[in-house]
Amino acid sequence: MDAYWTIINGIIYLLAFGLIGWVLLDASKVTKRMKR
Amino acid sequence: MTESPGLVKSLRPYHVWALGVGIVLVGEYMGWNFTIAKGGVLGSLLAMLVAGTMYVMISLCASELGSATKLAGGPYDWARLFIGPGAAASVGLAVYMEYIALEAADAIVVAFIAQEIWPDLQVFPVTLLVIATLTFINYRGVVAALTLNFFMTAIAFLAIIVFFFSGTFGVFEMNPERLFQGAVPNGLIGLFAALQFGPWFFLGIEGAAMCAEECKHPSRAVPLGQQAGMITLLVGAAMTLFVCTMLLDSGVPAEGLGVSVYPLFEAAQASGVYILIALLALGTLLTCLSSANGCVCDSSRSWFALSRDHFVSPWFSTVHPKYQTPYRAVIFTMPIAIAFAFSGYLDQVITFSIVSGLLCYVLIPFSLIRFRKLFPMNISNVRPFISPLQPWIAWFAMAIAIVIMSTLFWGYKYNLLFALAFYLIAYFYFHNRHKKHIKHFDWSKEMGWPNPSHHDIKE
Repeated sequence: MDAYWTIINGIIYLLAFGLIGWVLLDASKVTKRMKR
Repeated sequence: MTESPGLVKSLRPYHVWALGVGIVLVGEYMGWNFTIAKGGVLGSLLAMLVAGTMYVMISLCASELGSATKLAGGPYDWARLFIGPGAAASVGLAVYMEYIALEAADAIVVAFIAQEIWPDLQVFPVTLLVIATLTFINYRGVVAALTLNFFMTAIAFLAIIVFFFSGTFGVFEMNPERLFQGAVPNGLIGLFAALQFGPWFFLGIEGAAMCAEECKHPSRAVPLGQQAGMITLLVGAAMTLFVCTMLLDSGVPAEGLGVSVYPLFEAAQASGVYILIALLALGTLLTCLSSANGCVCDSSRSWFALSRDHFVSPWFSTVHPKYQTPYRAVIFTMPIAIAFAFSGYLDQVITFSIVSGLLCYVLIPFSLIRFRKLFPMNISNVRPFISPLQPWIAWFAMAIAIVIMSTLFWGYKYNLLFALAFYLIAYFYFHNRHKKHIKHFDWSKEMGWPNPSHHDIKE
């Protein structure tokens, strides 16, 4: 049961960091495009 | 370098309503009930009425200022025009901090609710996921974010109405005698102390005006959305207070309603009706999410306005070419909200938000007083809407805001002093920094107004 919840908490972390990563990646792309 | 586009003008009055009520309704699901612990049922009623009076007066001041200036920054722009750069930066920062602290608090509460359902779930990853998801939605576009807010807020408000009318039509039994049980448990001092939690019923409604620049017809959408929001909140506050005090014990010493974390949900549990319990649980969750969502929108716009006027780095004032959102300002809300959430001190974070809000409520009426002095009605024809009984209403609203702020001394002395010191430092820092760039403000060029004869406002 503990392992099950560790995996779920891990997935939530992954989702959160995935969203943060997507936003930061898109923002850096836009900034590069604007500099050109 | 490619030029940054402007913000998209796509919002309608119901989006403004959703932004304003979405942020505030959470205060009717939780938090307002601490007035019961301090001042009993009568203290809570008094706090609701005093705070409601203050908000109605402030909205009258805001209507006159807003209809005259027609600027998107709301309180920040009024302070910039009529008080000066130090006050403008303090108000901009106060709005930013008010909403960002509230966003963090909402995210923590969502995580606590999730943990209550699944005890093995950790609070921090859920908090992080809520903040990241809402930042993502706001990054992608304001229309989608506020349409989502509209549906979440409407469901949460409908849940209060259904709950209230279920009680009045006899679906469950209410206990009217509880209205008089512990009505004034701590005497007059309790009534006074209860005022500090009164703003919970309405805190943040002024944020509805922050999306003015993104409205299709701001002169119609903002007053309509904001006034409809104020009516919604007054109705919701009265229903919540009535139904919760009849269902939950508010005895002495403070117990039951006075210390409840989710008073409306616990009142639904006390009713024993399964559908209502599920509805109010859903309402509690949705109202936290909609509040946090609105807070991301408002705090990013405040930071964007500060950046555009060079109070903070102009790097933040760039607009996304595809989504037409202030994307750097939106992203910047994330680390600050996570830092607040990571602290874990929910009540401290919320108190900082309340002090920031009250500072704005002092400076909005003060802006109106300065505006009336600079542009007296008998010689300046610059206002389409004239608020009644001014400047007395403005002075009275300021007095109420200061009284409510002073009541925070009971229990939150250090938070109050820290927050006031923070804004005082910000005031002098920005005042001195912008003194270097002082120039004569050209009212006719900037606003299309005649220059006031005795004007001394510098920019």
